[in-house]
Amino acid sequence: MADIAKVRLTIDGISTEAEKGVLLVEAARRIGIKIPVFCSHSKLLPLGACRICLVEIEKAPKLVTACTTPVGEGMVVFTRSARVVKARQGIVEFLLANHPLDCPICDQGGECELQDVCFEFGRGKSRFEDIKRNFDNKYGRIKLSPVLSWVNNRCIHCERCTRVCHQVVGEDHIGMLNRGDKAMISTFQFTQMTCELCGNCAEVCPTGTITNGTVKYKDRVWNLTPNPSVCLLCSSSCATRVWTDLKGKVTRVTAPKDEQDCCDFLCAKGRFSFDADQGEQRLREGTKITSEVAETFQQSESLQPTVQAFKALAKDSGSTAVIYNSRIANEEAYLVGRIARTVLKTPHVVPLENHEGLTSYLDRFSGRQSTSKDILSADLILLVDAPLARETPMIGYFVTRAVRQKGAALYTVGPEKTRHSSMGLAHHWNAPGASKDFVLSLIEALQSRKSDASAEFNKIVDAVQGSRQMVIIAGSRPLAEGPAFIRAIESLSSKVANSKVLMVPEGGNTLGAMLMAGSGMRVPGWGSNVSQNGCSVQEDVLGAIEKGSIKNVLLIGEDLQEGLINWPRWKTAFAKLANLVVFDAFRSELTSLATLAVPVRSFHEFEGSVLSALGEWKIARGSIPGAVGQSMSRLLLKLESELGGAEQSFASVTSEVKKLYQWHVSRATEAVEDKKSADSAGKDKSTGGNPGKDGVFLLIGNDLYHSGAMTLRGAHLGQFLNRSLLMNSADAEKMKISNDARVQLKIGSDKVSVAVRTTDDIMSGCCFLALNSLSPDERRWFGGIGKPLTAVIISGGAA
Amino acid sequence: MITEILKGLSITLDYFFKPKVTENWPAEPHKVSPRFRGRHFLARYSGGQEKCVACYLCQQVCPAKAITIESEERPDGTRYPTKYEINMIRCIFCGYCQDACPEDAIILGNTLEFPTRTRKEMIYSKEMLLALAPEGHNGKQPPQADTHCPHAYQKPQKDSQVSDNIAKQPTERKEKK
Amino acid sequence: MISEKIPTSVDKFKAISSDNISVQESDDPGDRIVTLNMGPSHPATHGVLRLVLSIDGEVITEVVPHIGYLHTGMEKLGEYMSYHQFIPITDRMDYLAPMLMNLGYILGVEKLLGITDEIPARAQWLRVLYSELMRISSHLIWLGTSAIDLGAMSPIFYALQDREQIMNIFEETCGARLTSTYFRIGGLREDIPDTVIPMIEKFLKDFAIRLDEYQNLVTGNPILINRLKGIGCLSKETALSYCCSGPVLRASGVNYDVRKARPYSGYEKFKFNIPVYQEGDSYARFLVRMDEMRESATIVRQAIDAIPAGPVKIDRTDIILPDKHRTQGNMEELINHFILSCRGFNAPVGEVFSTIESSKGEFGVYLVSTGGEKPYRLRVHSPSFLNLSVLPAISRGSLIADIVAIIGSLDIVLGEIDR
Repeated sequence: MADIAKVRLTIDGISTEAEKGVLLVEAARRIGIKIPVFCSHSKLLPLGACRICLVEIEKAPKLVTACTTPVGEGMVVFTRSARVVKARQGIVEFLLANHPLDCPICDQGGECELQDVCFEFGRGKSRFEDIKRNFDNKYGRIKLSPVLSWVNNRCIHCERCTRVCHQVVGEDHIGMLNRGDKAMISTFQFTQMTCELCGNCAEVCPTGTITNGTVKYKDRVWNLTPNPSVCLLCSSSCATRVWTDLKGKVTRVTAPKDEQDCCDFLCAKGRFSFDADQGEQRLREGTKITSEVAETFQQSESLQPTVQAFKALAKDSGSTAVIYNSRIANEEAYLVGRIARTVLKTPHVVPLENHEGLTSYLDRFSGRQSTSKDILSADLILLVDAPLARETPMIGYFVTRAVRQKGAALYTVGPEKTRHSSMGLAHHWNAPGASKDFVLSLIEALQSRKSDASAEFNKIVDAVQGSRQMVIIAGSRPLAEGPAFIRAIESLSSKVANSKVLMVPEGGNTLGAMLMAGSGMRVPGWGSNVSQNGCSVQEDVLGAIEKGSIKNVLLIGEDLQEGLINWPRWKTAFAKLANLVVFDAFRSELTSLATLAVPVRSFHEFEGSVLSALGEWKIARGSIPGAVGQSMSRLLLKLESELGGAEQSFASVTSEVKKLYQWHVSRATEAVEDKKSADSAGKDKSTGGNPGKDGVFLLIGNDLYHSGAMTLRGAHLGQFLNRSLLMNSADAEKMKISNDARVQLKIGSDKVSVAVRTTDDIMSGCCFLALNSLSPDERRWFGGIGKPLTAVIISGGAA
Repeated sequence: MITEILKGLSITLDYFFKPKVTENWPAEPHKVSPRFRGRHFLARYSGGQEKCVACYLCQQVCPAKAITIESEERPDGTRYPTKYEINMIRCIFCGYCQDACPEDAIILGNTLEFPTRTRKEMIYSKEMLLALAPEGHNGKQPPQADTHCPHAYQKPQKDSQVSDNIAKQPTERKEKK
Repeated sequence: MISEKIPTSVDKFKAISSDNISVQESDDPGDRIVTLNMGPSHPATHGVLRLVLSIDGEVITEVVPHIGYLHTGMEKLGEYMSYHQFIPITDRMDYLAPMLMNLGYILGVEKLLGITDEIPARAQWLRVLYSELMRISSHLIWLGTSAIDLGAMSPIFYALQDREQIMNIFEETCGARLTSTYFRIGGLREDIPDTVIPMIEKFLKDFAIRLDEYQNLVTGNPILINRLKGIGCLSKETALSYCCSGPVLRASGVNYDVRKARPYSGYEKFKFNIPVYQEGDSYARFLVRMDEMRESATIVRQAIDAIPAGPVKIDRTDIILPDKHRTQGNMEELINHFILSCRGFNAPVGEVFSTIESSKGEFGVYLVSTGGEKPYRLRVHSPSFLNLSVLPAISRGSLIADIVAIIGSLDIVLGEIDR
């Protein structure tokens, strides 16, 4: 890409330069000059509505808004001249004219942008003597949501909330109603907010109009400490600020502000699940079962029970399995892998979430997958079976921004029409499990068109052929199709110039944990004397336990029981084990069964680094005062040294982990040179299945507001859980099933009773069920995220 | 030498016959000025509602960090403190909390004698502070209670109780064929 | 009933010594030096001051003052408090003249903010009025306590009686008798009530009579003159080299008073004299302070007669809290009140050194600000500290009884020395 031309200009007497197209507000910020803004936001398109950023440009007749004016060659800008000072005072006066005297009761006090700007730039003395506009009518004080608090009186009409909802999130749920002094922001017809409740409107609101209702009236921002952390609820791995109060309790979670790259936003899961890891559901004391009697011990007091347990595991290395899940940091996964191979000397290092294609994706794409910048600068985005809003909202935000802010073309493919489909140009219905077929047919069509292709498909082919920079995003279901899909997508990517690939697996630090624990992948220097023929998926481990060849299991992570497929079968299998060591943050049946259960820090408290799906390396400080015990990495390091390993500091582990990632990246870059695998793509057989005569494809995923079972434990998000079965309306009509009717869903020999919601957004022959809506016993048939099952819908089922 | 001593003695002898300035405390209570900064109390409105809205300004401005507050939302949507403690031993009676309070809720009253035998009793809870408010509090008249502050939260209006005013669910739109 | 006689220390000594030991007078002067600890807990040291005296008989050969018993880390505390929050802490420095401490600190902050010229005239006038009342109050305490240190029992009663009137005036104005916290950065906390002026008038009337009584009772008293004259002579050069200030300096012949040298807060509008004496002994310092009380009374008189009308707060609600009724009804004021209370104003980057004439001498602050709501460094320039440092120089060769007189005449307050 050619260098963007630089422009020289002078701001407040300081000479500076900026790239063409940079706005004055940004250019000033770069040299440390602060221009007040309300409606302007670095991630939103400029609006120029509030007029507070007015600056004076020499030889310009009027003051101009710095947030909409790009830099010009030779511009001389004054941000503190007398005219500007007077203008700012005037704007502040107008904004405050109708603003209610709510500061003492407003939650935003202390972090309110309006307060700060008024204090710094306002007149300081009010001249307003009239009656203020008051939305104190029925509509102004309506409760729109249990998790967000709305007070329309305080609105200054900057429209950041509506723009965020439209440009970043893509929901279009709120808008400006009425005109003039009666203008107010609300949902259409003042109905309940049924959006994804991401809370970004509250995040960007400069006043206290929209605030986080879960902490309404609870505390003030000056009593809270922001702790930098990373969210582990999905593979977007957003950077967060976990705010703790004076007693050390986690009070709320927000996105970091004023940082260069991404993440001024969060989703509902990240924002409102702050109470999920508090209270009784946490495992706070270790338990060990010795001869049928359970004893508790404090981890802080003694490491010995854990050391003894590990010694028992190490004794019989061939029959020990180590299972980890994706809710751990990179350093923790690294140490787990190292302990497993060098101390326990076991070949069975298994991730709980099985993403069959993940190993192959990491092998070939580490470090060269699409980044957020690639998405934002793309002109064509192809979503292949990627329900982003549900699984990884932040990546969905980037796609929405690319489409709505930069004008990228968006096409979606898959058995479900997602929210992004409504802003896309076309949706191509594709059966679940057949994503690889789609990609291969796309590759073929690029060479020669088929006459029986659908109109949407042809549109996609045209777009791909004409694209300047394309990004292909695929979700968990294509990933579950295995290495074949990866090969296909690699082949497509190599045939389209300037294209990037992004897989978004379900889970937390899915990519980082897999890379660092090294399951299925070669890690230099580890386990050279340990065979590579270990179990690779949890089903293998289960089978081995039942056969008797595995007698000890170490489970390490957070919320582990949730990820064990077919829990009743695992339960019986665990009874056979000699040793079951569980490191978990939450109490469950699993931890009560364990011979040794060790409490670890939860997803807010952990310390370490996380690798996001977009390839970003994010650090969580682990500085929460009320954290349970020490961080897992330090605990594992201590364990290692007690069990005979070398003593190592946490800092050196972090640098080793970073180096390991660089090694994987360099391997992937070399792999690009190897064209063999790409060419073999066409030889893989079709993976699309057939549900059978009466059957439907049952798609499994997360509920919109939840991630695994962790978020279900919170009181705020716990009240939002959609237990319905999403069914195609045409199918429902054929089977004479009405909306809200109860049906029985028969999967294999199991039956589960659900209510139905009919929709046109799902392909005929498919239905969707949120996994979080079922208990572990109810979902014994579950075979893993991404694997579509076949099921039969029986109407008129008993409740 | 003698004359100087006699001069001094005559002054002291004069004072012997002048009226005494000593206050007969504790028999007669010490009279304080209207602005005296004594023991705190939390004020109420004339209708009975407590004025404090837990804005946390007094806690923040206190140089001695004597005030601790926790707050919640009442069922009718108003804001109130669940815990309001002043540690009288930490307090330096500077009156900053009184200056900072936008609601005139925390007021330093006219009591100057309040000893206790234990330290624990010197930590005043919200209930104690509310109970200490004297009638009309000694010249520190509150501003016009119900009308000075245009906050809507003070007077919940008949047709817009926040707790009952929950938005209805959107009606399902019929899908187009 | 004690059957046995309890042995005294003399008996014990006799028991262990033999008759061969005899006490001889040594010729070596070093052998004659006894170290006497005039401990921190002592009624004559005007606070918790520890003096380690090396005495030869009754004559003092060396004095080493040990301070720090009242140290509470105020300067460090200042780095963690906003400028506004620090004002009550200044009250606790020289606790006998809190208003002067407030003023010294506040003038420093106002200089840092650059608003010295914008303080309303009424606020400045009232600041002068209260500063002078405070000076009188401080000198009255000095008078009473020094006199009682020297053995005169009556003056303290009368001095405290006068001071009581001043304390009542303060209580009427701001609600506290001692730790007033009345001045604010940018003016005053609130205007004076109407009831205060008659009280000040009454005080001035009574005080005029009382000053004459002090003249008769104390100043002319020959015992006092014998106790103070020629004691603790401080030469002009020594005083200047030790950076003494206030009455201590003026008693040694240096005509330096900050109110005249660098007038602040409108002092240039007042007519008053600076008493200067040449002898530099304790009696001169005594006389300086007696005359200063008289001069302060004239300043108060001038102040009472012509208080200008107007506001008592600067017109900037982003520096000083607006009036409560404005806060409760107006948006900009409420916002500024909120931000000032929860954070404080943002000081510009810079450093200032600003002093005033406090009752003990030149008091001021050295403020370093790197921007933000809290100072980076808040260094207090304390006159008592420097005045005390001159103590060894002027008390070598005097008697133990004179130490008491000298400390009294230096008029030190440990709160200001130790902070």
